[in-house]
Amino acid sequence: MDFATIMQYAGWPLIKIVILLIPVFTVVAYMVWFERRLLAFFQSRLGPNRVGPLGLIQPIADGLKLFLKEDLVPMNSRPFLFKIAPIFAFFPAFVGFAIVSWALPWVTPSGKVHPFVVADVDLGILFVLALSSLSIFGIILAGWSSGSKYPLFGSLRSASQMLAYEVPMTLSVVAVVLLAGSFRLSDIVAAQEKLGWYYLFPGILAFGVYLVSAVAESNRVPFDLPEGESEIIGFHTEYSGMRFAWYFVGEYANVTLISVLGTTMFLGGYDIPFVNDAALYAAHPELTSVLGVCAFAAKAALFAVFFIWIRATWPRYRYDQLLKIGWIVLLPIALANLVLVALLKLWLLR
Amino acid sequence: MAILWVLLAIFIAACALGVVLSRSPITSALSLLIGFVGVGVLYLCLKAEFVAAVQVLVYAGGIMVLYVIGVMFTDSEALRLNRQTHMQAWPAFFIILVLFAWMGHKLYHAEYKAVPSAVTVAVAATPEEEAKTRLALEAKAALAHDTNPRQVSVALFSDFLYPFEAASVLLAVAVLGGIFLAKKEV
Repeated sequence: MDFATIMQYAGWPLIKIVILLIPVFTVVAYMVWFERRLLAFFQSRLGPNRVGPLGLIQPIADGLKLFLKEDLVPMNSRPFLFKIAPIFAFFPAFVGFAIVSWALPWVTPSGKVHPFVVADVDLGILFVLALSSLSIFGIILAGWSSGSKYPLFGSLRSASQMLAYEVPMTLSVVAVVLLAGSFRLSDIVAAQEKLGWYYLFPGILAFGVYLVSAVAESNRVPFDLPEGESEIIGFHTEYSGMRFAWYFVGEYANVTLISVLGTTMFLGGYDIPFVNDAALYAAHPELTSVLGVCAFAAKAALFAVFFIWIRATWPRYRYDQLLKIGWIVLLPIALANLVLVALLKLWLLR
Repeated sequence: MAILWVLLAIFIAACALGVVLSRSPITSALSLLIGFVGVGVLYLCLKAEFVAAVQVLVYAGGIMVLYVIGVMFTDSEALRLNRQTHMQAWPAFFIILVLFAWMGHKLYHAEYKAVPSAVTVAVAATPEEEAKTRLALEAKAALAHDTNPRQVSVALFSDFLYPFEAASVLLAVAVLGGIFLAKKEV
C-alpha cells in the first residue's frame, strides 16, 4: 500500500470530515446562543449579552461549565447503559452530515474533481433516515437505565411520539425522492435545477408534512413533551453535567441537520436563486461553488430561524393531541400526497 | 474482505448468543439490536447498500423500538425470579442439527454460476464464445453502473413481484389479526 492509496481511502475522507465537523460543531454551539438571543428579542428582553461582545463567548462558557460539573450516576441505575445512552442521541445527527452535498464540485486546473461532500452515496437520504431511526434509543435507554419512574414515563412518551412522526416524515421524503428519481442529495438538487422550480411548489404538501414532523422528531416546541422542561418531567431527569448536555448537543445538531436536508429537498440546496447556475459554473467554477455554499447556508438559516420562531410563538400540545396530529392528520395527508406526486410525475414532470 | 467477514460473523453470532443467554430482557433486546446493525454491515460488505439501509431502518429502528417498549411494560422482577426450564433444549438441539445438516448438504452440492470476467474473455476458445462472454460482461458493467436502489426496485417489480405481493398479503393478515386481538369488543 503506497501513500497515494492510503490518502485516497483514509487520508482525504478524514481531512474532509474534520473540515466538515469544525463548522458543524460551531454552528451547533452558536445555535444555542442564537436561539436564546432571538427568543429574548421576541419577549422584549436582551438575552445573554455579558460574556464577550454581544455575548458571543457564552456557548464556550456554558460548555466549560458543563464539562466541569460532577457526573452523577444514580444508585438504582444500570451504569453501563446509563453512560452510553447519550451517545445514541447525538451520534446519528452528526453522522448524517456526511452525505450532504454542499456545492457543485471543485475542478482543479489539472482536471481533478473535488466534490463538496464526504460521501456522495447512492443511498443518500435513506442513510440519514436509517441513522435517525436509531436516535430514539438514546431516549429509551436513558429512561430505562435511570432506574427511576419519571424518566421511564418520559421515555415511553417520547418513544411513541418519535414512532408516530417518523412515518409521515419518511413518506414526505419519499415524495421528494419520487420527484427527483434518486436518493442521492446532489441528484435531488440537480433535478430541481433542471426543472427550474424548487420542490417547494410541486411538493408543497410534502413540505408541510416534513416541517411539522421534523419539529416533532427533534423534540422541539410545540412537540417538546419528551423534555417538558417547565411542568412535566422528561427522560433526562437523572442526568447531569456533560451527559445531560449531549442530549442538547444532539437536539441542536438534529435541528441543523433537518434544516440542511429540508433546504436540499425543498429549497434547491446549493442552487443560487435567480441565477443560471450551469452557465455561471461553466464561466467561474470556483465562484459558483463559494456562492453555492453561501446560498445553502442562507437557506438553511431560514429554516433554523423558523424553528426558533415557532418556539417563541406556540404553546405545547397535549399528549393526546400530539398523537392525533401524527396518526390521524399527518399520515393520511402524507399518503394522499404520495399518490398526488406520483400522478404529477407521471403526467406533467416527465 | 474475508477477514472482515469472519470477524463480523463471530460478532453477530456473539450477539445472537447474548440474546438467548442473557437473563435480563433489556440486555437481550440490546444484543439483538447490535446484531441487527451487524447484519446491516454484512449487507454493506456484500455491496447491497439498499438492503443494509432498510435493515437498519426497519429492524433496528422500527421493530426493535417496539420490542424495547414491550420489554419496558413487562415486569422484569418477575422474569428474573421465575425459574427457567430447559425441557425443550434436547429436541430443539436435534432439530437444529438436522436443519444445519440439510443446509450444509444443499450448500455443498449447490452449483454456482461462473461470473464472466476479463480472464474468461481472454481464454475463450472460439470467437462466438468470446463475443457471448463479452456481451455478458458489458451487461454486468451496465448493471453495476446502475444505482443500488434502482437495481433492487427493478428486481422487486419484475422478477419477484409475486413473492413481494404474497408477503404483503401475509403482513396484512398479521395486521388484521393484531387488530382483532387488541380490540375490546368484537
